Amino acid sequence: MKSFSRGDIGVALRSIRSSRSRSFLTIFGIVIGVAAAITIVSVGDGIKNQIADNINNVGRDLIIVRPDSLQPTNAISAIVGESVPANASLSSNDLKIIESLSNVQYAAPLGILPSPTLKVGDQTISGLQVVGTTNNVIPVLNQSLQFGDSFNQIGINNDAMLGQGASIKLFGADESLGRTFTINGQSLFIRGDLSSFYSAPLSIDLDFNNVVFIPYSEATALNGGKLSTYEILVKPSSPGAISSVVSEIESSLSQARGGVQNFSVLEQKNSLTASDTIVSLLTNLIAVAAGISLFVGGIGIMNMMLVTVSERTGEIGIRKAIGATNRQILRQFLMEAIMLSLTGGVFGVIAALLVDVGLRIFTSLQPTTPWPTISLAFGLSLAIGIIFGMIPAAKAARKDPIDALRHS
Amino acid sequence: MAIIEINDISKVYGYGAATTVALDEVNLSIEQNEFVAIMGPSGSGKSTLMNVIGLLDRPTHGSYKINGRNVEKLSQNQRAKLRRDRIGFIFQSFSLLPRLTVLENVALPLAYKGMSTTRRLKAASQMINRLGLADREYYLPRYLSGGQMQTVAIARALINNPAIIIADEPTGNLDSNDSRLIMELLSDIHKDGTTILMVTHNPELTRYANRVVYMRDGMIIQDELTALGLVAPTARKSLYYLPHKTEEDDLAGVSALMKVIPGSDSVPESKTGRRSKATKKTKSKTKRSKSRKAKS
Ligand SMILES: Nc1ncnc2c1ncn2[C@@H]1O[C@H](COP(=O)(O)OP(=O)(O)OP(=O)(O)O)[C@@H](O)[C@H]1O
Ligand SMILES: [Mg+2]
Repeated sequence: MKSFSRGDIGVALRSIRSSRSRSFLTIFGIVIGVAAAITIVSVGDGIKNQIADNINNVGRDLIIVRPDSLQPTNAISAIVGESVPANASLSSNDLKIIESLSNVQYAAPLGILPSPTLKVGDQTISGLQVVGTTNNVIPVLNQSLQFGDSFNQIGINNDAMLGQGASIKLFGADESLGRTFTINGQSLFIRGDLSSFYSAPLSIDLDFNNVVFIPYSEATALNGGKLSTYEILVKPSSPGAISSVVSEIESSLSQARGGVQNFSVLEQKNSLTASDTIVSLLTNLIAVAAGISLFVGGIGIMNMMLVTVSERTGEIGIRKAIGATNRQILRQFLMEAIMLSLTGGVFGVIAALLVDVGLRIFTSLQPTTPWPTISLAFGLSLAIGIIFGMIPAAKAARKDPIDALRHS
Repeated sequence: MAIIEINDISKVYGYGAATTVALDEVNLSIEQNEFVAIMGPSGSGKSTLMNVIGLLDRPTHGSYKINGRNVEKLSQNQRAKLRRDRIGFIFQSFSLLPRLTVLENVALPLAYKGMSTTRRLKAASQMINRLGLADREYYLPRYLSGGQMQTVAIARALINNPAIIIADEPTGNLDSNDSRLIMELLSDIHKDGTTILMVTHNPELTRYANRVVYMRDGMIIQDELTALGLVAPTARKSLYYLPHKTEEDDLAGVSALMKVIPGSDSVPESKTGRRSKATKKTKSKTKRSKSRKAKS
């Protein structure tokens, strides 16, 4: 087929304009489909990037040891956080074993205090988690203190360090040094405020920004002398030692258990894959929905073009009488369908970019709209125009000139 | 060599009981630069013949040659190109595209030829100028008078410099002033060497033709040469019956005309009531014979 000329485009645009409201509604269908498709893909990509950043932030060399019973049973429970059963199988002895390994630089246990009651004065604060740990948690997570100090190693144990979110929830400010609050009636004193943790949406890790860190021994005491370890975070002495540390932990811990391996040693690359799997799953699901809406938009174009063709039968007759070939008629109406869907594509991309900006401003999501996605959207709307415009255009081209002229 | 040569062309519509014979073994040969007027009652097959000659329609049987070349077996595509390059159509209803300006309407056949926009608009502008509508180039058709619209249609028909102009009742929707204007235009085109076929119900308009073909029931019943400037002899006889002011008068004139053509024994229907009792009787007879034909 000869390539489309500027004139063809002009003719197509003019007839689209001549039935404005109908064209608008048809184009709107495509706009929604394209905008939805782009937004979904870019939000999904954004989340993947954020999770990767998150992991880079705590360090790619972080190793996590978890009891098997604590493994999330599926992606959904990982998100909802239903992963802390009572019978944990990591002990303080395990921590000692890990710390004694030669290539381990730091190790920090994390024990989550079940259903804590936090109060500032008489006011109960909800939405925070209380984690028992040691001072090693700071270097293990590549973290730093924004204000104050870590736990006092000697003397009384009722110290606390707050993540930024926790500080704001408890005291309305990100600096809360020296202030006091209570957990389950026990008064605690804030010694340190941690810098902000990088947190990614849909991450399967704890959101450390909303955690109140207290000494492990204090958490154990608050839980009636017994606290299950959620996980042990381990930092090897060098990034090159990751795999050897992993295997040393595996062998020494199972040796201590008499050969039973009821725990897992996770590297960051595992958790990256896990998060990616979840995000991809969701992205694909919603992308299918966006695809369906594009398909429906295509049906809309076909419908409008069929109406247009039958309304303009007389015009087709005249054009044929003055020498238009079937192919030229086909081209004219196909062009019109393509213009409809491409216009929808353009506005769809614009809408998606606006939605992305909105998401960046009003949510923690950081959608990334890459050029391949945008060109994919254009390609898709072009394809929709061609596929769904072909039947009406062929119908126009096949019309008998005499019958068609009778309509004019 | 004849520019148009038709041999035993038939056109049958429908199947079985609903069959209509629109053209019944028509033979016609038209030389270059003839101006042929085609007359006949409604339904006699004039438009069907024009559409077949203009390659818009295919005959059911028969052979058709343009400039000695057989065209009945051509593909749709080839026929479209022949229409574009060799034939210009003018219709009773003007048939302009309502959303295109005068200029764009006239330029359209050139677009289908693949000419660039600038060149074709320039050519169209020259043609419009030639026909005296230069100040209406950017008007949409709906803002023009009937005569102006038909002038634009003629400009469009002429833009490809066609060998044959086919005009199916070109003055059918025009008043007598506009009719004269359009006929003068066609006459000029004829003088420039173009072959013209024109269907009309108005015997007066045979003045512009040098040949008049009379049709009835899908057949050519008379074919006479006539001097330019004079009403054709057969058509003239009908002029004595009625004045010719309106289209209805013209139709009545045709009815009267049919009476004077040798071999035609009845008068077709007409919308006017200005006729003798005898004529009315023959009219109903015609109707009956027509419906009988349709059933066979
Ligand atoms: N598409 C069609 N299907 C069936 N019959 C048709 C069709 N087109 C034309 N006819 C019939 O063919 C016959 C000739 O029609 P045609 O239009 O050629 O007549 P005409 O001489 O041009 O009449 P008028 O003066 O009214 O324009 C008529 O009987 C008409 O009813
Ligand atoms: Mg007719």
